Amino acid sequence: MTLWYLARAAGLIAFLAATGSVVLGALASTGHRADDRSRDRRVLRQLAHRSAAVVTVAMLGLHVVLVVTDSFVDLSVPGALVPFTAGYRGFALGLGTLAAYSLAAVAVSGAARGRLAASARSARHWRALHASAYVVWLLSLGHGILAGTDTGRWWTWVLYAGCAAAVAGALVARLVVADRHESTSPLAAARRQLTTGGVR
Amino acid sequence: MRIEVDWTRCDGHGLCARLLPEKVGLDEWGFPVIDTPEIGDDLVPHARRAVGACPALALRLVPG
Repeated sequence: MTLWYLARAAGLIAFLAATGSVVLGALASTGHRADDRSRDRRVLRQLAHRSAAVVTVAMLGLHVVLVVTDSFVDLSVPGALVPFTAGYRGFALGLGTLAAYSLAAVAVSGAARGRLAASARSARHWRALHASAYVVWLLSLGHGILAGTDTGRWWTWVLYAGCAAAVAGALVARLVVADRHESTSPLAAARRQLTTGGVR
Repeated sequence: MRIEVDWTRCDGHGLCARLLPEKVGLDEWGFPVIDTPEIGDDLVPHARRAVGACPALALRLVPG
């Protein structure tokens, strides 16, 4: 039973770390004030974002290994690898499997960020690929609520609602800041002029 | 190694100047000014960090 408790704990910690990473990632693009202190804070948000992402991947790995090895629920290796084929809570576990695969893609794109900047073509696709982290987060939220043994206890609702509020808030902050930057930055204004003739 | 700025993408966020002050200065609008783009071996890790931190993916490290 110990493994089962550890597996559940690892899953919850992975979800908390994923929330932290998504929030910090969204906030890493905010803060356009041109002074050294706000630039340094952006660098720190990036570092914290990457650290939280590493914790997420590590805890997810632990969660998957423990859930498969544990004998309390009968989950086979193919059942864990192929989405929606698990014998135990098939749909909910399928969401988790899909989340794990998309997280792998997001994590690789994050790790290869500097290398992808080397060519103009790959850099253009980087943001779209990495933004699928929001989908990963939604999938893992669904997986947690539907598959979680603790779902229904008061503290899980506090946890999920708190995490959802944090991600929604960070996303709104990011969009608001991007919009303001777009309308005030002289370079962005000049680009708009060139590409659309000034029409937004 | 050399660092290059892709001016079609640079937005003047200025993070590169905080991570690689030995090579990158900022003009009054916050855009990078690089006098000597050659990166010595001792600075390569810092240059890589600056490349990875650029919010616009506008900085790159190229051989030569």
